Amino acid sequence: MTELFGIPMPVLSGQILLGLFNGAFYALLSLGLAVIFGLLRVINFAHGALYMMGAFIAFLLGQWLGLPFWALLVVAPVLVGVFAVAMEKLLLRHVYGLDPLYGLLLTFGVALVIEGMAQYMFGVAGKPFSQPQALSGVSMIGGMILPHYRVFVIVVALITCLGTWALIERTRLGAFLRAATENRPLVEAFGVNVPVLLTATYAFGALLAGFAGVMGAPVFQVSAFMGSNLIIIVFAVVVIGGMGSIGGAIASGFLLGLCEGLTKVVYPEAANIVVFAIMAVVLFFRPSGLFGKAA
Amino acid sequence: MTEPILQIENLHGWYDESHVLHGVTLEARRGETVALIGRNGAGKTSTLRAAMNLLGRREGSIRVNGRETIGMPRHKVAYTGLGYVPEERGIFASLSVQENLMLLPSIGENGMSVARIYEIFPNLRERRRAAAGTLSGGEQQMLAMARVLRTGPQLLLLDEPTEGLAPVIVKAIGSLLAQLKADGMTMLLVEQNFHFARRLADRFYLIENGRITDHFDREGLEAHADRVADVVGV
Repeated sequence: MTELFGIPMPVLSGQILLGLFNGAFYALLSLGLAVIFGLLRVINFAHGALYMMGAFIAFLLGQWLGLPFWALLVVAPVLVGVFAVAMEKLLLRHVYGLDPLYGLLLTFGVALVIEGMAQYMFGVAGKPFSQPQALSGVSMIGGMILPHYRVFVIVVALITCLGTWALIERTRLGAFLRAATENRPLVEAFGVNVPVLLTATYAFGALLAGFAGVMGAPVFQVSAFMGSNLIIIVFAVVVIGGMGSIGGAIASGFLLGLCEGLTKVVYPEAANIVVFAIMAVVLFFRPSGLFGKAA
Repeated sequence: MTEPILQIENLHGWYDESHVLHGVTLEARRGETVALIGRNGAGKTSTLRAAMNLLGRREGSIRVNGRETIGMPRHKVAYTGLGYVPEERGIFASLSVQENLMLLPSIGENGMSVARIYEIFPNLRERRRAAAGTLSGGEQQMLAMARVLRTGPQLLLLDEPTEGLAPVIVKAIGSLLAQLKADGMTMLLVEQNFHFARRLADRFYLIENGRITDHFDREGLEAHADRVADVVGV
Protein backbone atom coordinates (compact mmCIF):
# COMPACT_ATOMS: atom_id res chain seq x y z
CA MET A 1 0.00 0.00 0.00
CA THR A 2 1.30 3.44 -0.91
CA GLU A 3 2.17 5.76 1.89
CA LEU A 4 3.00 9.42 2.34
CA PHE A 5 5.04 10.36 5.44
CA GLY A 6 4.16 6.95 6.80
CA ILE A 7 0.45 7.50 6.41
CA PRO A 8 -1.45 5.14 4.11
CA MET A 9 -2.76 7.06 1.08
CA PRO A 10 -6.39 5.91 1.43
CA VAL A 11 -6.48 7.25 5.00
CA LEU A 12 -4.90 10.52 3.96
CA SER A 13 -7.15 11.04 0.95
CA GLY A 14 -10.18 10.07 3.00
CA GLN A 15 -9.40 12.72 5.57
CA ILE A 16 -8.65 15.32 2.92
CA LEU A 17 -12.07 14.65 1.43
CA LEU A 18 -13.72 14.79 4.84
CA GLY A 19 -11.84 17.99 5.61
CA LEU A 20 -13.00 19.61 2.39
CA PHE A 21 -16.53 18.39 3.10
CA ASN A 22 -16.56 20.06 6.52
CA GLY A 23 -14.81 23.03 4.96
CA ALA A 24 -17.68 23.38 2.50
CA PHE A 25 -20.03 24.07 5.42
CA TYR A 26 -17.55 26.40 7.10
CA ALA A 27 -17.19 28.32 3.84
CA LEU A 28 -20.92 28.63 3.12
CA LEU A 29 -21.65 29.77 6.66
CA SER A 30 -18.70 32.10 7.12
CA LEU A 31 -19.39 33.63 3.70
CA GLY A 32 -22.93 34.54 4.83
CA LEU A 33 -21.62 35.92 8.11
CA ALA A 34 -18.98 37.98 6.32
CA VAL A 35 -21.47 39.46 3.82
CA ILE A 36 -23.92 40.32 6.59
CA PHE A 37 -21.27 41.80 8.83
CA GLY A 38 -19.73 43.77 5.98
CA LEU A 39 -22.89 45.66 5.13
CA LEU A 40 -25.08 45.53 8.23
CA ARG A 41 -22.29 45.62 10.84
CA VAL A 42 -24.26 42.96 12.68
CA ILE A 43 -22.52 39.89 14.05
CA ASN A 44 -25.25 37.41 13.21
CA PHE A 45 -25.40 34.96 16.10
CA ALA A 46 -28.61 33.55 14.63
CA HIS A 47 -26.61 32.09 11.74
CA GLY A 48 -26.35 28.62 13.27
CA ALA A 49 -30.06 28.64 14.05
CA LEU A 50 -30.86 29.60 10.45
CA TYR A 51 -28.69 26.71 9.29
CA MET A 52 -30.61 24.36 11.57
CA MET A 53 -33.86 25.88 10.36
CA GLY A 54 -32.94 25.00 6.77
CA ALA A 55 -32.40 21.38 7.79
CA PHE A 56 -35.65 21.22 9.76
CA ILE A 57 -37.75 22.81 7.05
CA ALA A 58 -36.30 20.29 4.61
CA PHE A 59 -37.07 17.47 7.05
CA LEU A 60 -40.67 18.63 7.53
CA LEU A 61 -41.40 19.29 3.88
CA GLY A 62 -39.92 15.91 3.05
CA GLN A 63 -42.21 14.25 5.60
CA TRP A 64 -45.41 16.18 4.85
CA LEU A 65 -45.24 16.73 1.15
CA GLY A 66 -42.79 14.07 0.16
CA LEU A 67 -40.75 16.62 -1.79
CA PRO A 68 -37.59 15.18 -3.36
CA PHE A 69 -34.17 16.31 -2.14
CA TRP A 70 -33.60 18.51 -5.17
CA ALA A 71 -36.78 20.46 -4.53
CA LEU A 72 -35.94 20.78 -0.84
CA LEU A 73 -32.54 22.15 -1.75
CA VAL A 74 -34.33 25.11 -3.34
CA VAL A 75 -37.51 25.51 -1.31
CA ALA A 76 -36.12 25.24 2.22
CA PRO A 77 -33.40 27.92 1.81
CA VAL A 78 -35.94 30.26 0.21
CA LEU A 79 -38.24 29.82 3.23
CA VAL A 80 -35.30 30.55 5.55
CA GLY A 81 -34.70 33.66 3.46
CA VAL A 82 -38.32 34.72 3.87
CA PHE A 83 -38.01 34.28 7.62
CA ALA A 84 -34.86 36.40 7.52
CA VAL A 85 -36.68 39.18 5.66
CA ALA A 86 -39.28 39.33 8.43
CA MET A 87 -36.59 39.18 11.09
CA GLU A 88 -34.64 42.03 9.49
CA LYS A 89 -37.67 44.25 8.98
CA LEU A 90 -39.21 43.66 12.40
CA LEU A 91 -36.19 43.37 14.67
CA LEU A 92 -32.74 43.91 13.23
CA ARG A 93 -33.62 47.25 11.59
CA HIS A 94 -33.96 48.82 15.03
CA VAL A 95 -30.40 48.15 16.11
CA TYR A 96 -28.62 49.63 13.06
CA GLY A 97 -26.37 52.46 14.03
CA LEU A 98 -26.21 51.32 17.64
CA ASP A 99 -23.27 49.62 19.29
CA PRO A 100 -22.65 46.24 17.51
CA LEU A 101 -23.26 44.58 20.86
CA TYR A 102 -27.00 45.17 20.46
CA GLY A 103 -27.13 43.32 17.15
CA LEU A 104 -25.11 40.49 18.64
CA LEU A 105 -27.42 40.19 21.64
CA LEU A 106 -30.55 40.47 19.51
CA THR A 107 -29.50 37.77 17.07
CA PHE A 108 -28.29 35.59 19.95
CA GLY A 109 -31.73 35.95 21.53
CA VAL A 110 -33.43 35.04 18.26
CA ALA A 111 -31.16 31.99 17.95
CA LEU A 112 -32.16 30.81 21.44
CA VAL A 113 -35.85 31.22 20.57
CA ILE A 114 -35.53 29.31 17.28
CA GLU A 115 -33.50 26.53 18.89
CA GLY A 116 -35.87 26.37 21.86
CA MET A 117 -38.85 26.02 19.54
CA ALA A 118 -37.13 23.33 17.52
CA GLN A 119 -36.29 21.45 20.69
CA TYR A 120 -39.87 21.80 21.94
CA MET A 121 -41.33 20.53 18.68
CA PHE A 122 -38.85 17.80 17.85
CA GLY A 123 -37.15 16.87 21.09
CA VAL A 124 -33.42 16.50 21.50
CA ALA A 125 -32.91 13.33 19.49
CA GLY A 126 -31.65 13.72 15.93
CA LYS A 127 -34.04 13.13 13.05
CA PRO A 128 -33.09 10.82 10.20
CA PHE A 129 -32.82 12.33 6.76
CA SER A 130 -31.80 10.16 3.88
CA GLN A 131 -29.43 11.01 1.08
CA PRO A 132 -30.88 11.37 -2.36
CA GLN A 133 -30.82 7.99 -4.10
CA ALA A 134 -28.86 9.25 -7.05
CA LEU A 135 -25.94 10.25 -4.81
CA SER A 136 -25.87 7.39 -2.36
CA GLY A 137 -23.08 5.36 -3.98
CA VAL A 138 -19.30 5.38 -3.68
CA SER A 139 -16.62 5.35 -6.34
CA MET A 140 -13.06 4.15 -6.14
CA ILE A 141 -10.59 6.25 -8.06
CA GLY A 142 -6.94 5.34 -7.82
CA GLY A 143 -7.31 3.84 -4.37
CA MET A 144 -9.39 6.80 -3.15
CA ILE A 145 -12.87 6.17 -1.82
CA LEU A 146 -15.21 8.87 -3.03
CA PRO A 147 -18.67 8.90 -1.48
CA HIS A 148 -20.79 10.59 -4.15
CA TYR A 149 -22.81 12.72 -1.79
CA ARG A 150 -19.73 14.26 -0.15
CA VAL A 151 -18.16 15.06 -3.48
CA PHE A 152 -21.46 16.57 -4.58
CA VAL A 153 -21.59 18.83 -1.50
CA ILE A 154 -18.00 19.99 -1.98
CA VAL A 155 -18.57 20.83 -5.64
CA VAL A 156 -21.92 22.55 -5.08
CA ALA A 157 -20.57 24.57 -2.16
CA LEU A 158 -17.55 25.62 -4.18
CA ILE A 159 -19.75 26.72 -7.10
CA THR A 160 -22.08 28.58 -4.74
CA CYS A 161 -19.17 30.34 -3.06
CA LEU A 162 -17.55 31.34 -6.34
CA GLY A 163 -20.90 32.48 -7.71
CA THR A 164 -21.45 34.65 -4.64
CA TRP A 165 -17.95 36.04 -4.92
CA ALA A 166 -18.55 36.92 -8.58
CA LEU A 167 -21.92 38.46 -7.75
CA ILE A 168 -20.35 40.73 -5.15
CA GLU A 169 -17.07 41.55 -6.86
CA ARG A 170 -18.09 41.63 -10.51
CA THR A 171 -21.63 43.02 -10.83
CA ARG A 172 -23.27 46.40 -10.40
CA LEU A 173 -25.46 45.02 -7.62
CA GLY A 174 -22.29 43.88 -5.88
CA ALA A 175 -20.78 47.32 -6.42
CA PHE A 176 -23.76 48.84 -4.57
CA LEU A 177 -23.12 46.42 -1.76
CA ARG A 178 -19.39 47.16 -1.59
CA ALA A 179 -19.96 50.90 -1.79
CA ALA A 180 -22.61 50.74 0.92
CA THR A 181 -20.19 48.73 3.05
CA GLU A 182 -17.84 51.71 2.84
CA ASN A 183 -20.32 54.56 3.21
CA ARG A 184 -23.96 53.61 3.61
CA PRO A 185 -25.54 57.08 4.01
CA LEU A 186 -23.80 58.44 0.91
CA VAL A 187 -24.87 55.52 -1.31
CA GLU A 188 -28.39 56.10 -0.08
CA ALA A 189 -28.18 59.84 -0.80
CA PHE A 190 -27.11 59.03 -4.36
CA GLY A 191 -30.47 57.34 -4.87
CA VAL A 192 -29.89 53.68 -4.01
CA ASN A 193 -32.61 52.09 -1.91
CA VAL A 194 -30.28 51.01 0.88
CA PRO A 195 -32.99 49.74 3.27
CA VAL A 196 -34.00 47.18 0.63
CA LEU A 197 -30.34 46.35 0.01
CA LEU A 198 -29.89 45.64 3.74
CA THR A 199 -32.94 43.38 3.86
CA ALA A 200 -31.83 41.53 0.73
CA THR A 201 -28.31 41.07 2.06
CA TYR A 202 -29.49 39.64 5.35
CA ALA A 203 -31.91 37.35 3.54
CA PHE A 204 -29.19 36.22 1.17
CA GLY A 205 -26.81 35.38 4.03
CA ALA A 206 -29.62 33.48 5.74
CA LEU A 207 -30.44 31.68 2.50
CA LEU A 208 -26.84 30.47 2.26
CA ALA A 209 -27.09 29.20 5.83
CA GLY A 210 -30.38 27.43 5.08
CA PHE A 211 -28.83 25.93 1.94
CA ALA A 212 -25.92 24.59 3.99
CA GLY A 213 -28.46 23.22 6.47
CA VAL A 214 -30.29 21.21 3.79
CA MET A 215 -27.00 19.83 2.47
CA GLY A 216 -25.91 18.95 5.99
CA ALA A 217 -29.17 17.21 6.85
CA PRO A 218 -28.35 13.80 5.30
CA VAL A 219 -24.92 13.64 6.92
CA PHE A 220 -25.17 15.38 10.28
CA GLN A 221 -28.09 14.65 12.53
CA VAL A 222 -31.03 17.00 12.09
CA SER A 223 -31.35 18.31 15.63
CA ALA A 224 -32.15 21.55 17.40
CA PHE A 225 -28.52 22.19 18.27
CA MET A 226 -26.81 21.12 15.05
CA GLY A 227 -26.23 24.80 14.31
CA SER A 228 -24.86 25.87 17.65
CA ASN A 229 -22.28 23.07 17.52
CA LEU A 230 -21.06 24.27 14.16
CA ILE A 231 -21.33 28.03 14.51
CA ILE A 232 -18.62 28.34 17.15
CA ILE A 233 -16.10 26.89 14.69
CA VAL A 234 -17.50 29.09 11.91
CA PHE A 235 -16.98 32.21 14.00
CA ALA A 236 -13.37 31.14 14.50
CA VAL A 237 -13.11 30.68 10.71
CA VAL A 238 -14.46 34.20 10.12
CA VAL A 239 -12.01 35.67 12.62
CA ILE A 240 -9.14 33.83 10.94
CA GLY A 241 -10.23 34.90 7.45
CA GLY A 242 -10.84 38.49 8.49
CA MET A 243 -14.26 39.99 9.17
CA GLY A 244 -15.91 41.36 6.07
CA SER A 245 -13.57 39.76 3.53
CA ILE A 246 -15.59 37.73 1.02
CA GLY A 247 -12.74 35.82 -0.59
CA GLY A 248 -11.13 35.38 2.82
CA ALA A 249 -14.23 33.76 4.26
CA ILE A 250 -14.40 31.24 1.40
CA ALA A 251 -10.70 30.41 1.35
CA SER A 252 -10.35 30.10 5.10
CA GLY A 253 -13.49 27.95 5.29
CA PHE A 254 -12.06 25.32 2.99
CA LEU A 255 -8.52 25.65 4.34
CA LEU A 256 -9.54 25.17 7.94
CA GLY A 257 -11.70 22.19 7.06
CA LEU A 258 -8.63 20.75 5.40
CA CYS A 259 -6.42 21.53 8.43
CA GLU A 260 -8.91 19.81 10.68
CA GLY A 261 -9.00 16.76 8.40
CA LEU A 262 -5.22 16.50 8.25
CA THR A 263 -4.92 16.92 12.01
CA LYS A 264 -7.19 13.90 12.40
CA VAL A 265 -4.62 11.87 10.49
CA VAL A 266 -1.54 13.17 12.22
CA TYR A 267 -2.74 13.72 15.77
CA PRO A 268 -6.46 12.95 16.16
CA GLU A 269 -6.63 14.23 19.74
CA ALA A 270 -5.99 17.79 18.54
CA ALA A 271 -8.56 17.78 15.72
CA ASN A 272 -11.24 19.49 17.78
CA ILE A 273 -9.05 22.35 18.86
CA VAL A 274 -6.84 22.93 15.85
CA VAL A 275 -9.10 25.65 14.43
CA PHE A 276 -9.02 27.55 17.71
CA ALA A 277 -5.28 27.14 18.01
CA ILE A 278 -4.89 28.59 14.51
CA MET A 279 -7.25 31.42 15.47
CA ALA A 280 -5.10 32.27 18.49
CA VAL A 281 -1.93 32.32 16.39
CA VAL A 282 -3.52 34.39 13.62
CA LEU A 283 -4.98 36.87 16.10
CA PHE A 284 -1.58 37.24 17.70
CA PHE A 285 0.28 38.02 14.46
CA ARG A 286 -2.50 39.46 12.28
CA PRO A 287 -5.34 40.82 14.41
CA SER A 288 -7.38 41.74 11.32
CA GLY A 289 -7.29 38.17 10.00
CA LEU A 290 -5.41 36.47 7.18
CA PHE A 291 -7.31 38.24 4.40
CA GLY A 292 -8.66 41.24 6.31
CA LYS A 293 -7.52 44.79 5.81
CA ALA A 294 -5.95 46.40 8.84
CA ALA A 295 -8.58 48.61 10.44
CA MET B 1 -41.55 84.35 -12.41
CA THR B 2 -40.91 80.63 -12.25
CA GLU B 3 -40.19 78.99 -8.94
CA PRO B 4 -36.47 78.69 -8.09
CA ILE B 5 -35.00 75.25 -8.70
CA LEU B 6 -33.84 75.21 -5.09
CA GLN B 7 -35.70 77.00 -2.36
CA ILE B 8 -34.64 76.60 1.25
CA GLU B 9 -36.78 78.31 3.83
CA ASN B 10 -36.20 78.70 7.54
CA LEU B 11 -34.16 75.50 7.67
CA HIS B 12 -33.15 74.21 11.07
CA GLY B 13 -30.82 71.26 11.38
CA TRP B 14 -29.32 69.11 14.10
CA TYR B 15 -26.33 66.77 14.33
CA ASP B 16 -27.37 64.45 17.13
CA GLU B 17 -28.20 66.89 19.90
CA SER B 18 -26.37 69.93 18.58
CA HIS B 19 -28.42 72.50 16.75
CA VAL B 20 -26.25 73.60 13.77
CA LEU B 21 -28.64 75.37 11.39
CA HIS B 22 -30.81 78.16 12.80
CA GLY B 23 -33.20 79.14 10.05
CA VAL B 24 -31.28 79.15 6.76
CA THR B 25 -33.16 80.73 3.86
CA LEU B 26 -31.73 80.79 0.36
CA GLU B 27 -32.66 80.04 -3.19
CA ALA B 28 -31.07 79.23 -6.54
CA ARG B 29 -32.81 79.97 -9.82
CA ARG B 30 -32.35 77.92 -12.92
CA GLY B 31 -28.97 78.49 -14.55
CA GLU B 32 -27.64 80.45 -11.63
CA THR B 33 -24.44 79.83 -9.69
CA VAL B 34 -24.87 80.66 -6.05
CA ALA B 35 -22.01 80.72 -3.57
CA LEU B 36 -22.43 80.08 0.12
CA ILE B 37 -19.61 81.82 1.97
CA GLY B 38 -18.67 81.43 5.59
CA ARG B 39 -16.11 80.32 8.12
CA ASN B 40 -15.42 76.76 9.18
CA GLY B 41 -18.33 75.53 11.24
CA ALA B 42 -20.70 78.27 10.11
CA GLY B 43 -23.09 75.71 8.61
CA LYS B 44 -22.11 75.57 4.92
CA THR B 45 -21.53 71.83 4.74
CA SER B 46 -24.48 71.21 7.04
CA THR B 47 -26.76 73.12 4.67
CA LEU B 48 -25.72 70.89 1.75
CA ARG B 49 -25.95 67.75 3.86
CA ALA B 50 -29.42 68.81 4.97
CA ALA B 51 -30.42 69.21 1.34
CA MET B 52 -29.38 65.58 0.72
CA ASN B 53 -31.08 64.38 3.93
CA LEU B 54 -27.70 63.47 5.39
CA LEU B 55 -28.14 65.54 8.52
CA GLY B 56 -29.81 64.03 11.59
CA ARG B 57 -32.97 66.05 12.16
CA ARG B 58 -34.31 68.81 9.89
CA GLU B 59 -37.14 71.31 10.16
CA GLY B 60 -38.33 73.98 7.78
CA SER B 61 -38.62 73.60 4.04
CA ILE B 62 -36.31 72.49 1.21
CA ARG B 63 -38.03 72.53 -2.15
CA VAL B 64 -36.25 71.19 -5.24
CA ASN B 65 -38.03 71.65 -8.55
CA GLY B 66 -41.15 72.45 -6.57
CA ARG B 67 -41.03 69.24 -4.52
CA GLU B 68 -40.69 69.33 -0.75
CA THR B 69 -37.82 67.06 0.29
CA ILE B 70 -38.15 67.34 4.07
CA GLY B 71 -39.74 64.07 5.11
CA MET B 72 -38.73 62.39 1.85
CA PRO B 73 -36.80 59.11 2.30
CA ARG B 74 -33.09 59.66 1.77
CA HIS B 75 -32.84 57.44 -1.31
CA LYS B 76 -35.50 59.45 -3.13
CA VAL B 77 -34.05 62.93 -2.64
CA ALA B 78 -31.50 62.69 -5.47
CA TYR B 79 -34.28 62.02 -8.01
CA THR B 80 -35.58 65.57 -7.58
CA GLY B 81 -32.53 66.47 -9.68
CA LEU B 82 -29.68 66.87 -7.22
CA GLY B 83 -26.05 66.00 -7.92
CA TYR B 84 -24.01 66.03 -4.72
CA VAL B 85 -20.24 66.38 -4.55
CA PRO B 86 -19.41 66.01 -0.86
CA GLU B 87 -16.63 67.80 0.94
CA GLU B 88 -14.75 64.59 1.76
CA ARG B 89 -15.38 63.60 -1.90
CA GLY B 90 -17.00 60.35 -0.88
CA ILE B 91 -15.08 58.21 -3.33
CA PHE B 92 -15.60 54.50 -2.69
CA ALA B 93 -11.98 53.52 -2.21
CA SER B 94 -12.35 49.76 -2.69
CA LEU B 95 -14.25 50.13 -5.96
CA SER B 96 -12.47 50.73 -9.23
CA VAL B 97 -12.59 54.15 -10.87
CA GLN B 98 -14.97 52.81 -13.51
CA GLU B 99 -17.23 51.24 -10.87
CA ASN B 100 -17.38 54.55 -9.01
CA LEU B 101 -18.28 56.28 -12.23
CA MET B 102 -21.04 53.83 -13.13
CA LEU B 103 -22.36 53.29 -9.61
CA LEU B 104 -24.83 56.14 -9.22
CA PRO B 105 -28.32 55.60 -10.63
CA SER B 106 -29.35 58.03 -13.35
CA ILE B 107 -31.66 60.76 -12.09
CA GLY B 108 -32.23 62.81 -15.24
CA GLU B 109 -32.17 62.54 -18.99
CA ASN B 110 -29.27 64.77 -19.85
CA GLY B 111 -26.52 62.81 -18.19
CA MET B 112 -23.06 63.16 -19.64
CA SER B 113 -21.94 60.13 -21.63
CA VAL B 114 -19.01 58.10 -20.35
CA ALA B 115 -17.15 58.83 -23.59
CA ARG B 116 -17.56 62.58 -22.99
CA ILE B 117 -16.49 62.21 -19.36
CA TYR B 118 -13.32 60.40 -20.36
CA GLU B 119 -12.70 63.10 -22.94
CA ILE B 120 -12.89 65.77 -20.24
CA PHE B 121 -11.01 63.71 -17.67
CA PRO B 122 -8.38 61.68 -19.56
CA ASN B 123 -6.72 60.77 -16.25
CA LEU B 124 -9.81 58.86 -15.20
CA ARG B 125 -9.80 56.91 -18.42
CA GLU B 126 -6.19 55.92 -17.95
CA ARG B 127 -6.81 54.77 -14.43
CA ARG B 128 -10.30 53.35 -14.88
CA ARG B 129 -9.34 49.87 -13.63
CA ALA B 130 -7.40 51.12 -10.60
CA ALA B 131 -8.92 51.11 -7.13
CA ALA B 132 -10.33 54.59 -6.62
CA GLY B 133 -8.57 54.82 -3.27
CA THR B 134 -5.24 54.98 -5.10
CA LEU B 135 -6.15 58.18 -6.99
CA SER B 136 -4.57 61.49 -6.05
CA GLY B 137 -6.70 64.09 -4.30
CA GLY B 138 -7.24 65.99 -7.54
CA GLU B 139 -8.24 62.87 -9.45
CA GLN B 140 -10.65 61.90 -6.68
CA GLN B 141 -12.27 65.32 -6.94
CA MET B 142 -12.57 64.91 -10.70
CA LEU B 143 -14.16 61.49 -10.18
CA ALA B 144 -16.56 62.86 -7.57
CA MET B 145 -17.75 65.44 -10.09
CA ALA B 146 -17.69 63.15 -13.12
CA ARG B 147 -19.88 60.50 -11.50
CA VAL B 148 -22.67 62.97 -10.66
CA LEU B 149 -22.50 64.59 -14.10
CA ARG B 150 -23.18 61.16 -15.60
CA THR B 151 -26.47 60.92 -13.66
CA GLY B 152 -27.95 64.02 -15.33
CA PRO B 153 -28.56 66.39 -12.39
CA GLN B 154 -30.26 69.77 -12.75
CA LEU B 155 -28.61 71.25 -9.70
CA LEU B 156 -25.08 70.60 -8.48
CA LEU B 157 -24.31 70.89 -4.79
CA LEU B 158 -20.55 71.39 -4.63
CA ASP B 159 -18.90 71.30 -1.22
CA GLU B 160 -15.43 72.83 -1.30
CA PRO B 161 -14.43 71.44 -4.70
CA THR B 162 -10.98 73.05 -4.51
CA GLU B 163 -10.08 72.22 -0.94
CA GLY B 164 -6.51 70.98 -0.54
CA LEU B 165 -5.79 70.81 -4.27
CA ALA B 166 -2.82 72.12 -6.24
CA PRO B 167 -3.31 75.43 -8.10
CA VAL B 168 -3.18 73.77 -11.52
CA ILE B 169 -6.04 71.47 -10.55
CA VAL B 170 -8.02 74.28 -8.98
CA LYS B 171 -7.72 76.05 -12.31
CA ALA B 172 -8.92 72.99 -14.22
CA ILE B 173 -11.91 72.61 -11.93
CA GLY B 174 -12.64 76.31 -12.33
CA SER B 175 -12.78 76.06 -16.10
CA LEU B 176 -14.92 72.90 -15.93
CA LEU B 177 -17.44 74.64 -13.68
CA ALA B 178 -17.40 77.70 -15.93
CA GLN B 179 -18.18 75.44 -18.88
CA LEU B 180 -21.03 73.75 -17.00
CA LYS B 181 -22.37 77.15 -16.10
CA ALA B 182 -22.23 78.27 -19.72
CA ASP B 183 -24.19 75.13 -20.59
CA GLY B 184 -26.92 76.23 -18.22
CA MET B 185 -26.20 74.10 -15.13
CA THR B 186 -27.46 75.44 -11.80
CA MET B 187 -24.90 75.25 -8.99
CA LEU B 188 -24.81 75.84 -5.28
CA LEU B 189 -21.16 76.25 -4.41
CA VAL B 190 -19.73 76.12 -0.92
CA GLU B 191 -16.26 77.63 -0.84
CA GLN B 192 -13.62 78.80 1.59
CA ASN B 193 -11.60 80.01 -1.34
CA PHE B 194 -13.41 83.25 -2.01
CA HIS B 195 -11.24 84.17 -4.98
CA PHE B 196 -12.36 80.97 -6.65
CA ALA B 197 -16.03 81.56 -5.86
CA ARG B 198 -16.12 85.19 -6.97
CA ARG B 199 -15.13 84.28 -10.51
CA LEU B 200 -18.01 81.83 -10.88
CA ALA B 201 -20.90 82.95 -8.73
CA ASP B 202 -23.79 85.20 -9.76
CA ARG B 203 -24.98 85.65 -6.21
CA PHE B 204 -23.50 85.26 -2.75
CA TYR B 205 -24.92 84.30 0.62
CA LEU B 206 -22.97 84.88 3.80
CA ILE B 207 -23.58 82.32 6.52
CA GLU B 208 -22.61 82.77 10.17
CA ASN B 209 -23.52 80.57 13.12
CA GLY B 210 -26.07 78.65 11.10
CA ARG B 211 -27.87 81.75 9.80
CA ILE B 212 -27.76 83.62 6.50
CA THR B 213 -26.60 87.07 7.55
CA ASP B 214 -26.33 88.76 4.17
CA HIS B 215 -26.81 88.21 0.49
CA PHE B 216 -25.95 90.19 -2.61
CA ASP B 217 -25.24 89.72 -6.28
CA ARG B 218 -22.07 90.23 -8.31
CA GLU B 219 -22.63 93.98 -8.56
CA GLY B 220 -23.01 94.25 -4.80
CA LEU B 221 -19.69 92.55 -4.20
CA GLU B 222 -17.63 95.75 -3.94
CA ALA B 223 -20.06 97.34 -1.53
CA HIS B 224 -19.93 94.23 0.67
CA ALA B 225 -16.16 93.75 0.48
CA ASP B 226 -15.70 94.50 4.17
CA ARG B 227 -18.41 92.07 5.23
CA VAL B 228 -16.95 89.36 3.04
CA ALA B 229 -13.46 89.98 4.39
CA ASP B 230 -14.88 89.78 7.89
CA VAL B 231 -16.74 86.50 7.24
CA VAL B 232 -14.07 84.63 5.33
CA GLY B 233 -11.24 86.12 7.32
CA VAL B 234 -9.09 87.39 4.47
